[in-house]
Parts: sequence; C-alpha cells; structure tokens
Amino acid sequence: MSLNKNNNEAIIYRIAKNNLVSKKMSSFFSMLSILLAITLVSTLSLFIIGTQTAEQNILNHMQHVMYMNVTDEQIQRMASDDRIEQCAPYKELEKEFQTQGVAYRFFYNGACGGNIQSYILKKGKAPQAYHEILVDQAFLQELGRDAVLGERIDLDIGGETQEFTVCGYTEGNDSTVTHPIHVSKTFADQNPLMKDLPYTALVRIKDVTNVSGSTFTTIAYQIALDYKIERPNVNLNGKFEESLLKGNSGTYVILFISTLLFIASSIVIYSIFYLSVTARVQQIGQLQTIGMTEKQVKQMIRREGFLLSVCGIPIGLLMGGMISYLLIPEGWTFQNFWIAALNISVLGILIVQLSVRKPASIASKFSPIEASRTVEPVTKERPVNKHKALTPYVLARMESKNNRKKWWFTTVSLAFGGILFMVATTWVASWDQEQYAREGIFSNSEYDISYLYTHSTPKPYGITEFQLSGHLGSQLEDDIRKIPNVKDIHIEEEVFGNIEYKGVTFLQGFYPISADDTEYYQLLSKGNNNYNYMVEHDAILITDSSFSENINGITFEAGEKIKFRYFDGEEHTIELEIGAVTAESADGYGNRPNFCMADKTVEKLWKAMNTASSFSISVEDYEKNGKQVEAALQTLLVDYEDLSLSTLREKEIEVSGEIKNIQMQIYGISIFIILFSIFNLINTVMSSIINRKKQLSMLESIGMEERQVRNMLFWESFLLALPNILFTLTFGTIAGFAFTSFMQQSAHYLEYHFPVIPVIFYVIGMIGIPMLISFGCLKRQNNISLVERMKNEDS
Amino acid sequence: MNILSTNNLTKYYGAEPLLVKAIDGISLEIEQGSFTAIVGTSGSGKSTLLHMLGGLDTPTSGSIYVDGQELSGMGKNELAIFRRRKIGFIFQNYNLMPNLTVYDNIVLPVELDGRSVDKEYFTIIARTLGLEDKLNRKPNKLSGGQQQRVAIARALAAKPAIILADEPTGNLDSHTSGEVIGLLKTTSEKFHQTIVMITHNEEIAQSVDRTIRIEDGKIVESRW
Repeated sequence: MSLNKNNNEAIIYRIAKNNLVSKKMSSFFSMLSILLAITLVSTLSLFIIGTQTAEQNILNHMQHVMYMNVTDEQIQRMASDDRIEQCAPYKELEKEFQTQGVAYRFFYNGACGGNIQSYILKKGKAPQAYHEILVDQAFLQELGRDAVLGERIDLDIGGETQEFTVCGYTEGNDSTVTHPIHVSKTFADQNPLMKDLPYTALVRIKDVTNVSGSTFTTIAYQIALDYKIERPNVNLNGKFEESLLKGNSGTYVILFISTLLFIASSIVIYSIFYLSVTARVQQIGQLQTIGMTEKQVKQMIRREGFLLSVCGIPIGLLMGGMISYLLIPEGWTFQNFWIAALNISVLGILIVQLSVRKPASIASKFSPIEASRTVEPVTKERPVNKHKALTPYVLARMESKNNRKKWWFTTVSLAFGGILFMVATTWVASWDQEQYAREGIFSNSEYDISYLYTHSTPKPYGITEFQLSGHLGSQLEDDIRKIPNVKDIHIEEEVFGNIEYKGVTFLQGFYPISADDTEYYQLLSKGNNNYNYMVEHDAILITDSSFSENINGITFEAGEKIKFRYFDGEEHTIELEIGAVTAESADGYGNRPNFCMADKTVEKLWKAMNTASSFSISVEDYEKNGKQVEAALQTLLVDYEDLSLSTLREKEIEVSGEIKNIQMQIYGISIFIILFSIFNLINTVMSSIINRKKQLSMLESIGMEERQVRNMLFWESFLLALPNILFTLTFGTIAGFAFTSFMQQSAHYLEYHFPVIPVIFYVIGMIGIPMLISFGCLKRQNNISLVERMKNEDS
Repeated sequence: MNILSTNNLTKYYGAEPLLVKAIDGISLEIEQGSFTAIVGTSGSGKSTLLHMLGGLDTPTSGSIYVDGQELSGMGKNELAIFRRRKIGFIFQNYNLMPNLTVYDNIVLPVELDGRSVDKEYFTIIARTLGLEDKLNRKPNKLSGGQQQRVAIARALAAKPAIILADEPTGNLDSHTSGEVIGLLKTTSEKFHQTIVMITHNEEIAQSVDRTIRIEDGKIVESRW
C-alpha cells in the first residue's frame, strides 16, 4: 500500500464516536444547538407552508367571484353555464339588530352543499322554512339559551319581534362582535326587510386553479359581460387571485428567518468545537505522534460534526413536525413534511460541516512536540503588568484575560442573539394597540356615525337619498354636542353621482376640496391640478387613478369630459372636465373617495342639500368617559334608523386577537434565537469549570476557601456577561430605534418605547445563568473528595 | 519539640469482606526542623498518610496534631485556612497555576490569606532557589525542574509549620532530582523548616535526617 493511502475510514469513525461519548457535555450542547436550529427552521417552514395549504383548502371551498345585483333568473342561467362549476345565491341585510344586548345580522346563503362553503354546518340542517334559522352556538350562549336543535327564540327584527326555530349550528368565531343568522330562501324572498334586496351570485369557475391571474380575470369579466352584469358589480376573490401569482412572500420570510437561525447556530457550534479542540491539544498531539495525518485529524473532527448532525437533525425534524401540527393542523400534510425534512436535513448537514471546518483545520495544525510538553492549554505570553494582590476578583480577571478568544466567541454569539432580541422586544413595546385600532376612521375620533349604506348593495345615487333626509344635520350635531364630555365633531362630506365615460357607467363618490386642501394640489399629476382651474372649469381631480382604472377597466385622461348624473331631489346631468389625474393619494388612511371636486362646484350642483356623509366624534378623556358617551350616543340614535354607530372600542376588540397573535410570534422567535446564545454560554461556563477541575482542587489544597472559589467564579461570570450586556444594550437600542423609525413610515401605530421589562429579564438572565451554572458545577465537583479531584488530569 | 504527631491513625475504604486498610494504625512524631522521608512500595499507603497529615483527607479513626492543633475536629473551610497558614505542599506534578506568573504563584497562599508578602523573605527564597530572573515568566515557559523550584518557593512563602512533599522528584531526571533534593535540604537547614517527603526512591531517601518505611499501611521501620 502506498504511504499516501489512508484506508481506515472505520477507525476514524470509531475515534470520532469515542470522542463525542467521552465529552458528553460539549457533545450534548452541540447536538442541542443543531436540534434547536432544525426544530425552529422546520417549525417555521411547516407553519408557513401549512398556512398556505390551509388557505388553499379554504379557497377550494370559496367562491372565485361575486356578481352583485343579479336576479334569481340570472342565477339560474349561470348555474347551468358550462364554464361555471357552481353558482349559489346570496343576500345580506346590512342592518344590525340586538336582542338582550347581543348583536346579529341576517344572511341568506344558498350554497349549502357543493364546493362553496360559506359556513361550516356543525349540527342540524340548512334552513328551509320561513322561520328556520342557522346560528353559531356562542350566539345562543350569550342569550342565555340552551344550544339545542329546535330551540325557539324571539328575535327583534326592526321594531317587531318574531319567533324563530333553530334548525342547526355553525362553527363560530369567538371574537365575533356581531353574530350571523342564516335564514331560508323563503324568508329572504318574502320578509319585507330582505325581499327587495338584490341577489349576489357566488360563483366558482371551472378549471381556473392553474391559470394565470390575468386569464382568470378575463374569464370572470367575460362571464359578467355575457350575463349583462356591469363591471362595478363584479367582485373578484382577491385571495384567490393572489394565490395564482407565482412566487410569494412566505418563501422570503422562511429564507430570511432560517438564515438568521442558521447563523446563530453556526456561531454556537463553531464556538463549542473551537473550545473542544483547543482543550484536546494533548490528545490530538498524541494521535499525530502515533501516526494520524493532518487530513485524518480534520476528518475526525468533521466526522464528529456529522455524527452530531445525524443525531440532532431527526429529533429536530420530529419536534418541528409536531409543533407545526399543533399550530396549524388544518394545513399540515405528510407530503409537505417530507419535502421540508429533506431540504432542511441537507442544509443542516452543510451548515454544521461549514461550522466545524475551521476548528478541524486548527486541530490538524497542532504540533505533536508542543502538545506532548503541555499539560494545560498553551496560552499566549502577555506583557506582565504591575502585581496586584491576588484576590478572587483579580484571579477572575486573569482567567478572563487569558481566555480572550473563548470569551470573545461567547460574547459574539450572545450579542447576536441579544441584539435580535432587543429589536423584537422594542417592536412589541413600541406597538400602541390603541393607535393600531385607530388606523383608518378613528385616527382623530372615537366614534363614527354614518348612513347605513353599503357598496355591496348600492343605490342609484349612493347615499344621496339618505342625505336628502338631512339626518346628519345640525339638529343631531347639537344633540351630540350636548352630551357631556364630547370634545368635538368633525363632519365629513361626500357627494355621489353616476359617471359615464368611454362606454362605462359607474357610481362614484366625490370628496369636496377647498382652496386650503393644499396637499391635493401638491400631488404629482397630469393636467391642471389647482383649485381655481377646477372651480372655473367645473373640473374634477382623480387621485390614486390605478385603483379606479383597475375596477372600471378604463384609463382616465386629463382634459377629457365625463357625463355626470346626480340627484338632489331631481335628476340632473352635466358635463364635467377631468382636470387632473394622479397616481398618488393625499389620503393616507384610505377613508376618502379618490375623486375630488371643488367645494364651490359641489355648492353649484347640490345647492343647499346636506352633503354630510359621517360625523366623527371625539371625547374628552376617552378612557374615563368613553362608556358614558357611547351609551348616550346609542340612546340618541334609536330614533335614526338610517344611521349606524361604529366605535373604537369595537375595533379594539376586533384587532386585539390579531395583535396578540403577532406579538406572541415575535417574542417566540426572539426567545428561541436567544436560546442558542444561552446554550453557548452554559457550555462555555461549564467546560471552563470542568476543564479546571484539577486547578480548582489545587487552589483548595493550598488553602483557598470554598467562599473564595465561589467569589472567583461569580466574578468570572460577571466579567463574561458584562461586555455582552453593554454591547447588546448599546447596539440593540440603536438597532431597535432604527427599526422602529423605519417601520413608522408605514406603521403609524408604532411609537418608540424602550423595552424595560424584557431588558431587565435579559440582564438578570445573562448574569444569573452563568452564576447558577458555576455554583451548580462547583457543588457537584465538591461531592468528590479533594484528593480524588487532585488526581484527575484537567482535560 | 514535635511539630507533628499522630496517634493510631487509620484509613479504611469499603466494608467487610472487601475492606481495604490503606492506613492501619500509624502513630508517629516528627521533630521540628527535621527532614523526614517516608518510603515504601507502590500501594503501601504513603500518599494516603501524607494527604491526611496535610488535612487533604480525613482519617477513619485516630488523631493528627500539627503545631499543637488537632485536625480531626476541623470543618472544610477551617482545614483550608489551616493549610494555607500551616502547611506547604509540593506535588509531583508541580500543580502551578498556568495563568499566573512565577511571582504570583509563589505569593498565592499568602495573598489568599489576606496578608502582605514579606518582601525580604521572598527575596531570600527566590535567590536561594535561583528564581530571581524568572519571576515574570509563566510556568509553561519553564522546565520541569524550574517549575518544581517554584512549587518549593510557594510552599515556603507562607512560612508554614511543615512542608509536605509528595514524590517531588517523580517527574524529573536524576540530575534535576538531585538538585531539587539538595534545595529541599538547604531550605530545611536555612529556614529551620520541617519537611516530610514521600519517595519510592531509596537513594534519595539517603539524603534525609530520618527515614520511615511503610508497608501495608503500617510503619515497619523508622531510622535516623
């Protein structure tokens, strides 16, 4: 056999295995780091994939498109169209009712059976007879009634009470403020409240699950054209359309967080292997002395890494699979699991091999001669400072200084995790829940009164006929102002009319702008975007033009004319000029219409008609007075059947679950990332004590008391934690502030707050954990007699 | 005057029928300023005896008096304090602190006791042991013999009642061994220091004032 031939894989493998078994502690922490990284990456991947699968499952039972304002006859014809898989009728009564303080609304849904599942029937059957209803169990529980089939209940339906019979239950949503009541077709066609409401057709189109988004859109609009359904009445399922897009943000999230996790685990694994290798100088030197080549030494270290991967990865995958199943059982599949497992395993092995590459290289370069002389690890010679009295603190400092590299690795991995932790906790601490709920109509108020009008059941001139009643007028305003603690009422105005342009007719709201609304005139636009021009030429301004262009399928050109039909008690038709068109928007919250008209033009057209569309009411000291004001407003509005009240309180309830969910996920991920650092810290501290067993026993033999040893270890822990804490607090604060400031550009509900409580816990943990570990190890060592400990060679 | 005495000292391990009698009834007295060697074959109980004399291990029965104080009633911390004030240890493997300089290693027991170093005394020790020019070095830069000299200096620094040396020449070549034994004799005479040394080397045992032979945990011979 040639001298260069090393045909002894088996022995290398056996030595590597023995090394791991003999160094149980560092092997354990290395494997734990791998296991944790794999668990996190697999949980995250399977969770995101599972969410997408679950969403797809839901989409498989939803309509692809809603055609609004259709007749029963159109629905019947569409149902037998070859292009259509299923067509189900649907009606929704916007008005909300209450019985015993429990709010509810009426729906008719003809999609029972078939692929469209607007609700999940848990028990019973769909309503058939006039008085039969389908409810969720929480609704009956809130009414204090038994959740039993056949239960009869009296419900208020607009001033009168009717008895209904519960024929079935649906799966309910715990955070629902208003409960859905599903009625029969008979009720929907005959009851005065619902009979005049137009139908909406819920439609699933055949063979569109694997087409592009634009193909799907074309088919949907073609069907609308064939059944003479106007374009504004076509409501595409946005989620379904999104699912047809190639590539999605979920993949990027997996990649980004996986990268962070793998970096964190790489640092830890590198550090652990580095410590392990430098503590084995003598052993490796001896192996080289008896004939192990440099290549074989590297192979041995890499084998150790591989063996740890082989143990840690399967357990990590199993745990990741179990956790992701618990998080999202409805989206979990074995196929997804195996695909993710294969990819993550390959990646995990590669990362570990990369992490141990450098320590393996270092180990291969140990000189057998030096290694045979050295009992303790060789330390660099440093300039000797003036002698200081050898107190436990001074001894601790010397130990730290002489193991700079080891301490540096630990600090880096701790700081990496710490900074991420601080960014995450800063984000959570800066999240103002009330501000989040205020996004939108509650930006400057706590209550919003508007006309009970919905765009899904449009009237010919929008809210104009409500405005003619003048209910949102001075009388109501005065009554509201009389309520104690009402601070201010802002009156929002909007006018409606029908636009005919380029062969398309659609209903559109306009926002009246005055000369003072300069933010509109500063938008980058085509045409004449200034107040005087708009007044003189009866011109309109179209903002966020792409939104309207997409809905209506036309392009707006500045300078062209539109035909405008409006109503002020009588119908009128006028030509207006498109004064200017801009893709930008001046309304950050999206509360106002994109089409604008000069206030003088509005006055000219609608004259003295009340053009108020909503009252936004703010309260003095909302925390204290909110309840009282809300009760007063409810009482006031009893006489106004066409007005509805929305409250900040309801919005807060609605978003609270969402916020909590997001915050828990952020905390969860950041704590897991810190776990890597903590593993590394524990390993560093424990190996430091275990590798100095003999040294510590020697100190005891020459007269160091246990108290002095503990003090020395305390100071070592503190000196280990201090640079990390300072580094983390400094750069973590900067990073947290920068991140929050960046996010504030789009998330106005963020206001920078230093995460005091999490940081206190972090500091206590970083000092406390190494202390506890040190004292625990010391106590354990002291169970062995001093003489026995002195006999052991330090490893 | 006796600086150290034991009375019927025993150290047993295990229980019948597997009882191991490492030390089986040893009574001895060591005179102040003497240089005594305890010899015996491997497993005779020499190290066990030394460990008990130095308070590193506790006897099964019997008493030990060092400088008038009985060790058996002392707790762990009391023994630690006692060791740093009254006992100087020299080990076969030197047992120096690798991260401390030669100077720091020598003064360690004194400063652990919160006392200041007697600079004049220190200078004498350093000169006697030939360590003056090595005080700023770390142990890994010294040869075995040099490291053992540092260990001897450390043992002397606290001016202990007695120095206990466990095979101090075990890791040294014959020439260096001779040097180290010579230094121990010198320090014993110069500083009127009581030294008890364990060795299995009969030749080395010739250089001392008194030899005590141990076999099977008992003293079988004691000669001046």
